[in-house]
Amino acid sequence: MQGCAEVPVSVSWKDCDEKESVIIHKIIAIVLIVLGLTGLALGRLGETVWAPETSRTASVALSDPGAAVVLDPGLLYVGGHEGEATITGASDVSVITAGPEDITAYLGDAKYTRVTGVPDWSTLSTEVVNPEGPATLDSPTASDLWRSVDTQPSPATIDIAAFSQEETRTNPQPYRPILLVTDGASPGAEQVSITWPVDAKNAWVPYAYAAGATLAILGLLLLVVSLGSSRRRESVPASSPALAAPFDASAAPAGASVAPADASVAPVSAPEAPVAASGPGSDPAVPAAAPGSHRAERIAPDPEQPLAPVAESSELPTAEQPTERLARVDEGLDGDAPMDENPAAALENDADRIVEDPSTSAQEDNR
Amino acid sequence: MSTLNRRSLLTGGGALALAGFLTACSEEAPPPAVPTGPKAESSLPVVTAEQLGSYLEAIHSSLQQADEARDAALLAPRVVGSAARFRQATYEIIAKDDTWAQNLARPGASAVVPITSTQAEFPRTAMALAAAETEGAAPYFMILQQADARSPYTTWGWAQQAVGIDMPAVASPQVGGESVPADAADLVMTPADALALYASVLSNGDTVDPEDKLAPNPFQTGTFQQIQTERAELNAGVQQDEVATIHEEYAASPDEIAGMRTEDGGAIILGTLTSSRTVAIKDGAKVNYAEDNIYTRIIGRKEFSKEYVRDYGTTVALYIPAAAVGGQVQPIGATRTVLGAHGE
Repeated sequence: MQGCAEVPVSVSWKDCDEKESVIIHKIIAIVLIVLGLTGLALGRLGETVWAPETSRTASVALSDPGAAVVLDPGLLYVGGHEGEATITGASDVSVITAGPEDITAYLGDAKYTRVTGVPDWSTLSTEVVNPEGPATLDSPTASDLWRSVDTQPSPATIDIAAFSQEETRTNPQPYRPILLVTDGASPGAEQVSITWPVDAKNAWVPYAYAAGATLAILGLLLLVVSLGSSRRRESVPASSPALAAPFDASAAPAGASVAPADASVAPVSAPEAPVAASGPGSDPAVPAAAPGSHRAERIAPDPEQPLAPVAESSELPTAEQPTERLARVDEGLDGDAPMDENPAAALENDADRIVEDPSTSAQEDNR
Repeated sequence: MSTLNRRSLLTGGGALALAGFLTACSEEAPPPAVPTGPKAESSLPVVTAEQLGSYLEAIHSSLQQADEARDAALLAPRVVGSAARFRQATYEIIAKDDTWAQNLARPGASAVVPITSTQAEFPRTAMALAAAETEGAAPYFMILQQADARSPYTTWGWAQQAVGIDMPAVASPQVGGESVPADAADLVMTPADALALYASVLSNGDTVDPEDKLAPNPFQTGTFQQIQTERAELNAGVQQDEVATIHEEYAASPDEIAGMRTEDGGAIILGTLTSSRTVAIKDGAKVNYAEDNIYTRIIGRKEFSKEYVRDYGTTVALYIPAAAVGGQVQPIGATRTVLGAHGE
């Protein structure tokens, strides 16, 4: 980047500011785009790589559980009322339901294992009851206490949704335990696992998408605008001798002189001020540049040049005559100062004002 | 460290930190505690109507098999106590007189009204109004008891519903009711006392019930009528009781009394009565049956000079009102079984 200190003496400090501004805009635009793309990427990662699992499975392997395994009441519902429990046994597995206290009453002093909880989403906790008790049960599926006995080949499954519906079908009541047995002599189960579906999503994903998209769009807009400004700067002969050295009378072509600055010739309300001279979307309160005109044109008048040639220039087609701008320039100046006293200084001052006027800058950008 | 390296390090570190943060945000919450479910609005029955139905099916199946084989051993384990003894006696009678087999009526396999209990302690009691196996016959009140958690529900008796008597309301099987012990004191009298009163009235007539605590009932009426008819036949053409007297003495079995609470706070109880109807023949007199009947076939003779005894077992059902409500004890069912006969 070429610093302003390195700008040739012939370039005005206003041009240097504009260059820096455009470059900063470009940098900001790129940063915004990068941030936006990062947000979008994070959103996508949140939906894929970092997305929660679609199911959770907690399981436990039972080495010596006794002739019965009891799933504590409500254990199936830790991860919701859907999913599946899978029980592996040495032979057919019977899934038995009973009243709240009946399983405990039935097992009595027999050795059995309770599956008590889900300490983490991959593990089931257990507790051996009556470790010294009898390890066999006589015809464990034949008790009158059992409300349902479902014997299946191993691995047996329990549909949690169906079980829940069955359990809560009648009056509201506490959840019931589930008894798992095989033949009464073998372990009640060798492995128990419970799988629950998960429909959870990362809460921040929509925000990442929204923020990313917003930043990217803003960055793109800013980049387009910056590139447009830059291109205009390059396409207009801003660095031509006429513009680079406005005070070089010899370099200033007569044709570049502006329309008469005489307020009497081109008043603000001059009917001949062409509406078409205003830029599209421009603020009517702000001086509109004539098509193809440039801010440098405003500072074209050569202080050495008499105003008379200006009168000649006034014969230019009205549509191309920046009369309105000049009229506004006159307004921007001290209205009492006659142009012929120091027209160059007057225009110079006006140029300062216009440069500082953001609406004017925007108007130029819009061209 | 060069600027590039530092920048790369910062960029990489930042990316890692961001990834870590987002990954942390993605981590699941730990599992909740095991839910216990909704609290029950009231005590729940320890058995369901479906379970009760399965017990009736098992009992009916046992009875059917035993009846077909005339083998009381097949009644176990579902049919116990007096019911098994009564069945055994019937099989013995049938062995002597096959025509008696037509009296082998039994409850059906389904419940007209399941009466579930909320009592979780053992022994548990439930009751059912079981349909009769014979079409058009009145249903049976059947008592069901479970001694412990590993024992099956068994029955020691059933009593066929009396005709023409209003029945008390009971709790729905989904709600269940309390079981009533033999000494429940919140009734107009304890079940044990009610059963004893009934046995006494059946034995001695209403004179033993001066306060008229026992309501008239078809079983009592029918039994008294039989006795009076027989008494008249025995002493036809002679002075009253000149040939023989006749009396039936009832006794309640103290171990077989159980019941369930009714909606009004009363109770339906079942109990077992045993009785002996004795024809005491006066000295010098003789009773001679012209034709054989079931009793003479059992005994093997038609002529008696001393006594002629028939033994019965009866399962009765009584409705006992709550003390707070008051009222008479109402017998609502009975099933009588001939257990045997002897004479000389």
